[in-house]
Formats: sequence, C-alpha cells, structure tokens
Amino acid sequence: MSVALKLDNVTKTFTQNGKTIAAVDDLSLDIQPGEFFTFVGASGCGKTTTLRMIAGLETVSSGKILFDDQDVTNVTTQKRGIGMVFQDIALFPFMSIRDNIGYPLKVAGMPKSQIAQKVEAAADLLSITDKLSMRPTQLSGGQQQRVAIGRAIVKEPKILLLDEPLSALDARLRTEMRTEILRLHRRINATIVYVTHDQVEAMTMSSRVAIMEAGRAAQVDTPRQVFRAPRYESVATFIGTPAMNVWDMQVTGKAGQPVLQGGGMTVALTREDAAALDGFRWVRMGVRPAALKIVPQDEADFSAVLHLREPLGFEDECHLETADGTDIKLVGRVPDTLVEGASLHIAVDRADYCIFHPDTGKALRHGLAPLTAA
Amino acid sequence: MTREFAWRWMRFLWLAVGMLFVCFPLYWMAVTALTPRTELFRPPYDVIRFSYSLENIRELLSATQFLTFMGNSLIVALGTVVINVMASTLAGYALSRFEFRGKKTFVAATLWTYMFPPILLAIPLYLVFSYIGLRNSYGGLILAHVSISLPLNVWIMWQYFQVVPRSLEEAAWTSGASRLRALIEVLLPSALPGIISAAIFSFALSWNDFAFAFILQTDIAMFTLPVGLATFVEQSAIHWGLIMASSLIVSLPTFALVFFLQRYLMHGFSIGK
Ligand SMILES: Nc1ncnc2c1ncn2[C@@H]1O[C@H](COP(=O)(O)OP(=O)(O)OP(=O)(O)O)[C@@H](O)[C@H]1O
Ligand SMILES: [Mg+2]
Repeated sequence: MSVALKLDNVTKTFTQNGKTIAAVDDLSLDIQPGEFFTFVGASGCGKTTTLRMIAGLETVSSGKILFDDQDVTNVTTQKRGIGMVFQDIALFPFMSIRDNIGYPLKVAGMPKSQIAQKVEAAADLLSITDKLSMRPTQLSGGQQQRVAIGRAIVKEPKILLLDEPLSALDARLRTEMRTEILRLHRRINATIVYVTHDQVEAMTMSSRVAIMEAGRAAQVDTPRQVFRAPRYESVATFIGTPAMNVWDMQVTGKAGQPVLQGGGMTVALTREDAAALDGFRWVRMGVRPAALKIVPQDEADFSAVLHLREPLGFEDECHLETADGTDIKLVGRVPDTLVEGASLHIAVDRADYCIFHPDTGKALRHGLAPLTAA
Repeated sequence: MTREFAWRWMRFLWLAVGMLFVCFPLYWMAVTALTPRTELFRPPYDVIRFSYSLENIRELLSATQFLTFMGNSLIVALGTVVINVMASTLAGYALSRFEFRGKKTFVAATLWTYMFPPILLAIPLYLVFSYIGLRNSYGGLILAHVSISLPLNVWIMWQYFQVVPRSLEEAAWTSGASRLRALIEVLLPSALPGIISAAIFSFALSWNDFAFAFILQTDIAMFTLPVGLATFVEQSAIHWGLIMASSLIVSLPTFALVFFLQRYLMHGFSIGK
C-alpha cells in the first residue's frame, strides 16, 4: 500500500525582524491511506504551519511533501486536490449555504444539476439540509462548522485537512462534533489530517497522533501508546488530565535493588528497573494521578497529607502534600470519610510509572509494558 | 436626566445652526434657478416664493453649451471612476497580500502626494500634456483626475483588503479557484463597500474639479461643467438665473450619490481606525 501523505525532512523557517525561527524543523512522517492523523501540541509549536505546507498555502524551506508517492512540493494549492477546514471557518459571507458548499464544484465547472445533487448529499450527511438557502450569519457556530466541512468534502478529496475546527465551539457542541467528525470519517473515503491543541480531541479521535514540540514531532504513535509509553517527560505531562506527577529523585539502594528517594517519598523499584537506572545518580520519576493508590500503612511507599478534594463526579481529584512539602495529585475513588487535613498512605502502582532522564527528559523506562515495540 | 435632556437640546441647536448655514445657500440656489428672469431682479426678494418656472432651465439647455459641458463632465468622471476602481482594487490587494521592497515608502508616498494642492500639479501637467499632445483630450483630463484621487483610493482599498480574512481567499484556493478567480468571486464582494466608496470619491472629485479642467482644456468644446459655468459668469451680463439653474443640475448627481450610497461612504471613511 502506498503512503497517502509523506513528509520528508520538511523544514520551514520564518524570518521576522532579522531573526530566523524554524516553525517546523526537519519533520518526517508517513500517513497511511484512510488514517485519522492528528498533530497536537502547545500554541506556536508549528501545527498550523505544517498543515499549511501540506495544503500548499505555505512553501517549504527545505524537504519534500509527497501525496501517494508523487512529489507535490512545488504543486499549487489548487492542483493538490485537498479539502480544508479553517480554524475561523471562513465561509463566504455573501453566498448562501448551498453556494458555499457547491463552490468547489462550480469552480471545477460541473453542470448545475450535478452540483445540486452533490450539495444535497453533503448536506444530508451533515444534517443541514434545511439550512441550504440561508446565509452563513444566520447559522449557529456548530452549523457553520458543518457547512465548512461540507464545502471541504463535497469534491471528495483524498486528503482532508482540518485546522482546529472545533476550537470556536462551546464545550458541549465540541463533544458532539467530535463524534460527528468521527462518523464522517467512517463514511467518507479520505485520509484526515487534523490539527488541535486539545489533547482530549487528539486522544479520542485519532488513529495516530504526532505530539509537536517546537517544530519537531516528539512522538508519533497511537493515542494509547502515547499515553502509556511516552517517549519524553514533556509528552507524558502534556497528555492526560490532571497532568502526570513528576519529581526529582535520587537513586539509592543496593545493586539490583534500586530505591528512589526524593520529594519526601521513597519508592523501592524492581530488578527490571535496575538496568535502566544504571549509572544515574538522579532521575525524574513520573506517576499519573490515577496510578497513585490509598493503601494501608504496611503497603505504602510514603505518606502524605490531603489538602483539597475536588469531586470530578465518579472520582475525586486530591491535592496531596508529602513530608517535604512537594505537591502531588491523586485521582481515584476516595472514601467520603476522608476530610481535608487527613494523613494518607500512598502506594505507586508498579505497573504504571515512568522514569525519565534528569537532563534530556527522555524516557528511560516505563513500568507499564509498551503495547508495541517503540 | 434633565441634564442629559438639556445636553441633547444643545446638540440639536448646534446642528440646526450648522444645517442652516449649509442648507440656505442650496435652497437659495434652487429657488433662484426656478424663478423667471423678469422677476429675479425685482424687489422684494422673498425668502419663500410661490411662482416657479422652468424658463431658466429651458434656456440653459437650448441657448448654451450646457449639454456639451455635461457630456464632457460625464465622460471624464466615468473614465476617472473606472480607472480608479480597477487600479485601486488591484493595488490595494497587492499591498495587503504581498510583501515587497519599498512597500512602506510606497504607502507613505501615496499619502504624501495628497498634500499637494491640485493647482501645483496642474501647471507641470499642462507642459507635459502639451508636449505629448494630451491637452484638450478626455484621456489627459482623466489621467489628471486619477492622479489626485487614486492615492487615497489605494489607501482605502488597502485598508479594506486587510480586514478581509486571508482564510476566505485561501478557502477559495483550496476549492480550486485561481488567485484571480478568488479575487473576483470572493474578495471583491467582501470589499464592495470599499469599492463603492472609491467610486463615489473619485466621481465627486472629477465632477467638481475646476483647477485641472480650467488649465488643461483650452478648447471650449472640451470644457467640463465647472469650467463651462464660469463662462456664464464672464459673459457681460451676469445671468444668475442661468448660473443657478446649471448649478442645480450639476449638484444633483452628487446629492443622489451621497444620498443613496451614504451607508457605504460612511463605512469607507471609518474603516481601519
Ligand atoms: N507568516 C509567519 N511569519 C512569521 N512567523 C510565523 C508565521 N507563521 C507562523 N509563524 C511562527 O511559526 C511558529 C509556529 O506557528 P504555527 O502557527 O504553526 O503554530 P501553531 O502550532 O499552529 O500554534 P497555535 O496553536 O497557536 O495555532 C510560531 O512561532 C509563529 O510565530
Ligand atoms: Mg494554529
């Protein structure tokens, strides 16, 4: 099977006020046909720039872009045959919804009757059939977003690009549209490249995600893999709410039986960890809030004081303070009898933690066995 | 509450006084134009009159070159409008969408040219046009009018295109439309108020210009209205009825334009603040 979309050492530099920055820095990745591929990352990490280069709205400074093994690096936007949904929706304000959706077909010179048919079909798919003769301003945000998607898919492009399509919508609508877009992906035969800064969107929708940091992809993996086996501390803390707890810890204990100490906590590790820790005096340990458990004293790794409970509904988010004042978070079902100020005994789930390099942040070991070889 | 009320009335009063100053000459013009010559110089000069006639207007159309002047004015004004709209749209688009060397200087220069009184340009233009044979031609006068109206229009259109989101145009490109097609089908409708402002502004400027037409058009057959009307004044007996009748007709298109398109005009001058 050919690669639907290939980025080959793509770099984009901008020069502004005499300073040159690399918005996208030597990015290489393959996206398979029919994938739902997401670029996620903090603001300014180069997601939009990457998407715009794929669309041909931005030239590359160096590197190549290939669609179906064809080099399109120097092909214009018009000839790339992609569909795109813009962050600000960008519907043509003076055209009816019907004309907006049908615009790509009109440009392609399709006969009117055929356009009408295809517009109806797209509108039907997005449940906006009754809005076709209205103007964009007469529609709600969610409806406008559907129209923008309709305009992008009406020509049945092989590659559909979406730049933060849900960021302008309120929380409820966002959840709704998430499902909608997933359903759409199942029904149309397109490779979707999606950009978002919302990790929940990235995790729930994608077949694979690229976690972007300063123009580079820190990790390209399935959402599960990214969550369970983050390659870097930065990836681990970016994905997951509340964020992973990470502390500096000193490596002590006997050979083959390492013990980590720091932040008022002591965690004895296993024989398997020993090899990964070999030669390190300090490491950073990362534990997700849900991997911390309240246990009886004799099973505990350390104790902490409960500072604040925030009910999440099913579970509580607990803010804890360890012996030396380090703040950590725990998420779980906590007995109602525990009130703020209580002293708790905490254990680290030995099947779910990470150890990171103290300087580079690279993951040295995941307590949880990776799903696939990295 | 009462203070606010008082303020409102004060404002109205100011406006009313202002309106009186603006409107009375206009009213007087209209009244004079419609009063027959025989009654015009017979006191008392009533502010409110009841006997009107179209005598002046009839004379204007039959016994003078008024229609020639008006034709010239229309041709020159329309030419000025067409060139202005096309050039300012393209230039404004280029300024808003492309980075190029000397852009800042260019923009500064457009406003700077606006500082010159037209008469300062008219004399050099006379020499140049004499040399290349553009004197007493429509093309020459149109060019002269464009030279004073285009800078501001380029500036207005530039402001307009800056507020039209780029993504609108990019959405057209990703839909397959070429740059030109996107400009025409997507950008222009969004910038329509700006285009209309540019058209009105250049029409009014050309229609009302005296200095250029007076200096560049030496042949009476090529006179525009403002210059042509001046010839009425020069004639031995000043015929106020004729002058006012022609002034009335001359001011009608400007009134009509401003009246029907004022919404666009206000928008054009307030944008980019
Ligand atoms: N046209 C441009 N000129 C100069 N710098 C630019 C340009 N476009 C983007 N940049 C810079 O490139 C970097 C990446 O920008 P980009 O828009 O790709 O970020 P992003 O990941 O999409 O962020 P966000 O989540 O805020 O949309 C930023 O530092 C930005 O300032
Ligand atoms: Mg962006």
